[in-house]
Amino acid sequence: MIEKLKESLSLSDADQTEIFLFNEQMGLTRFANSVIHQNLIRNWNILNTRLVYGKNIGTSRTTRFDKNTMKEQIRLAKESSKFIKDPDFVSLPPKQPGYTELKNWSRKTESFTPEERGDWVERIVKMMKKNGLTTAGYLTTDSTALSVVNSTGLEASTQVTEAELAVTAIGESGTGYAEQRSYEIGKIDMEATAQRAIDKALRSKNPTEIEPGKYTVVLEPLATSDFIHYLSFLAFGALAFHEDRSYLSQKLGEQVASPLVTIYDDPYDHRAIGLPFDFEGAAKKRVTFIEEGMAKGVAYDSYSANRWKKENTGHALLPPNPHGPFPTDLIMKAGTLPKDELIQSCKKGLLITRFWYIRVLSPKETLFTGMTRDGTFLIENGEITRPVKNLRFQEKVMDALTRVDAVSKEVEAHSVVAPWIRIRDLNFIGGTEY
Amino acid sequence: MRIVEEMKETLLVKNGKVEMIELTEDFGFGVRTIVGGAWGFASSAELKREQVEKTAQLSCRVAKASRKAMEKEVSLAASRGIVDSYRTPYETDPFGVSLAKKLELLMEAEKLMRKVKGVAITEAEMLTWKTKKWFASTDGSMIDQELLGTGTQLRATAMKNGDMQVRSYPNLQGQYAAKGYELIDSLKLTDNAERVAEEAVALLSAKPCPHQQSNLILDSALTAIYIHESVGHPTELDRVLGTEANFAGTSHLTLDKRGQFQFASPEVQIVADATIPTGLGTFGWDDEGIEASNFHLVKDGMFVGYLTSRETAPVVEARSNGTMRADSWKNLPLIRMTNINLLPGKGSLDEIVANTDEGFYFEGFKTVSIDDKRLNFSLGPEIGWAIKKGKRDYMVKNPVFTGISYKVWRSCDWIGGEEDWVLWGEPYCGKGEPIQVMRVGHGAPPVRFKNVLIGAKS
Repeated sequence: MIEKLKESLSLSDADQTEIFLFNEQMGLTRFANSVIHQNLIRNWNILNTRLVYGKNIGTSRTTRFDKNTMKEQIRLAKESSKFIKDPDFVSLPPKQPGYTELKNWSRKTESFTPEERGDWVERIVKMMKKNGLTTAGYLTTDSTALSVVNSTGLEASTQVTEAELAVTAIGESGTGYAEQRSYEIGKIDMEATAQRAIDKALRSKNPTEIEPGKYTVVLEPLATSDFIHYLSFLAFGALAFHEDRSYLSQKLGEQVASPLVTIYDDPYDHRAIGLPFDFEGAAKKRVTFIEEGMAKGVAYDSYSANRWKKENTGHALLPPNPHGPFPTDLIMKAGTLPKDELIQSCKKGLLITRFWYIRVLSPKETLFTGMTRDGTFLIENGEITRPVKNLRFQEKVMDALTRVDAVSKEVEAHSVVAPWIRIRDLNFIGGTEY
Repeated sequence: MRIVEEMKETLLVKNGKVEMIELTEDFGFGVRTIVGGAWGFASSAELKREQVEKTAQLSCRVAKASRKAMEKEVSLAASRGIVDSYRTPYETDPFGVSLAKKLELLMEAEKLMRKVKGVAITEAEMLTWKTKKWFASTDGSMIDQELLGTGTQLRATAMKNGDMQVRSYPNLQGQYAAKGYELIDSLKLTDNAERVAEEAVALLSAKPCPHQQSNLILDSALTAIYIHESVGHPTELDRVLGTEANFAGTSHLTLDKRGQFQFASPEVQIVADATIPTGLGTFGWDDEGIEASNFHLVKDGMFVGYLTSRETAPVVEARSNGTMRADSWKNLPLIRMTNINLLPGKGSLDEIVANTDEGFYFEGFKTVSIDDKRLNFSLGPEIGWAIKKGKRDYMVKNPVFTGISYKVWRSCDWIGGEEDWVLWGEPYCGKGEPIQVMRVGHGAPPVRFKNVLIGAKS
């Protein structure tokens, strides 16, 4: 494929030319009410072209891919380049010395069949029935190929697979949720994931109402991941940082969180299912955003690195990208305590499985709101005593991270690789009817 | 089978320069099948005879695999074969307007915002799209449609001492409609640019929104998003029947409540109207070949109707009301909102304010969150003002409005009239796995709620 893309470079008369090709083969089986109700296979491409004429830059994008398409895309990108002149633009990324090989591709995941996905769902449904529950969720197996070439000689190509199982167990008055992801379908423990959702649903039966207010919370890894994921949109990219929109703006070197909090981006950690290069072919580098509570850095792409004279950390999204660079392989560092101890040493608090519909009320302050979902429990004197109805939080999340007083040694890979964490005095402002 | 071709153009001007011209072409086809009573779907970007046959066979194979977890065979509400066409009516094709002209307008509006002292970031954006769809089914339908839309927005961001405030026009997500370039002309960006920039700066020194019970007036943009979250989503029958339980959630508007549940005050009339001109949820036929329709979801405050599909409709009535749409050729159609409209009452926004002795007025949508059964919500407007003796008093920043959705609707005591009724376009409604982003519409006037909770305890 690289050779075909390199041939296409010769169709352009620009000073610099970049061609990006993405191909995804996805199999997805959705189930609900304990039956498969949506089941699909899709195969599609993104062909993205970027041309540079001096300081003028133009792009175009299509899902088609053939020689005639390439000519038309170059024509469109050239046309748009006449209107975009950016004095801060320096160059596309240069030819890279090499890329670290990542073993994030699995033949077994890529070739997993609809019949095999159906078998998994059938077994999950049986487990649910034994417990008097119904189930909803999905199993997806995805194989993605990415290639980038540009006229500086940069050539990058890789393949990655991802399998993900999400299971909601549903009882008459309570639900439970669990999920697991890996590049390798064989590493997903289907029965353990389903059983975890079942246990939560059974334990969530007949929740009672509690008064909103400030509670110590133990966040399971999914809930921790939800917080950090949203934080990353607002605070960890160079554009927001240099435009003074990020919480970390002008705070590098300052203590912004508890010393127990370390958050970084590392595509080379196998748990993150990362890529060795970004969407403009620059090699990815590990970046630490918060180290033992201290603000350390943000992610850059080639444009922002050139503009603000920093090292390119390889975090470009697909151009044109007005949002700036963005981390995609986030990890919160594990602590030292066994996860159960976070609960056992909590006098009164809430155990939270996951959050839902987190939204940002004030981005620079990191003021978030959102709901708990699929398993919220009261902790009393070190034990989980009863399920409670879901609550709405409203909280400045960076402030909350200064109140982290315990972090588990166990982590799980979700959208962020995250541990169980305990936060004092999280602010809940209301509740719902279930 | 659906073949879909979409052209999209997004323009962004930021801080005095053209930041982005994004030209996107999306083309391919999808085949949805029922084999042995179970669903299958496959899609491909390569529209060649051999590939179509292969994709159809793959779809059948996927359907057969679905039988591994099946309780009963899929049964669809009746549909008649349709052979017809639909085109969005418009005056000026936005793709026929030169890039230079469009960018000139955005640059001019952005420059006016930038003139205002204290503004840190200024942005002006324009989006246009044209979608061609060809639908054929074994019921005998052959339908082609061309849907066109445009939209635009201005955003001014002001920052001081760690505070950041954004003000937008016509709304933070813009205004979009199934119209041609005439929409852009009608919105008069340059007439509103300085005002929104000035308000962004003024918000920095505004008082914080207090936490209290209060009478509350929402402008039509906020009413629209409140309708979206508290009426549109919970009346999707697939959610009600549990098929989105893993992600988007279910609904408190369960089957037993239809025709029995006083959802809102008796003045409230809400319809789902896929036939109204210029709506983003307006079309000729849905992605199952069912004709666009207009029907009540809430009548005299009573919850009476659902958005349905051919598969779900038989649970409540004989026929689908035509709300199945997919966001592209590569995804399955789902039940989606069309244009969910609160029908107008009487009186302008100014009259509502003038007749409110004490309370708050909130304007401009910033953010919203709601639980997975659509009960507890939090609505975050851009700006608010206290109202005292029928007049706007001081400005408040970071306003928040929370509550239980149906209880708040029951407290609605004034629905504004046609003069301030706007059919808003919402181009970014998310649902499904993998997530699909749909264009929907909401017609809304300003409304007033009595004694609701604003602000939040910190």
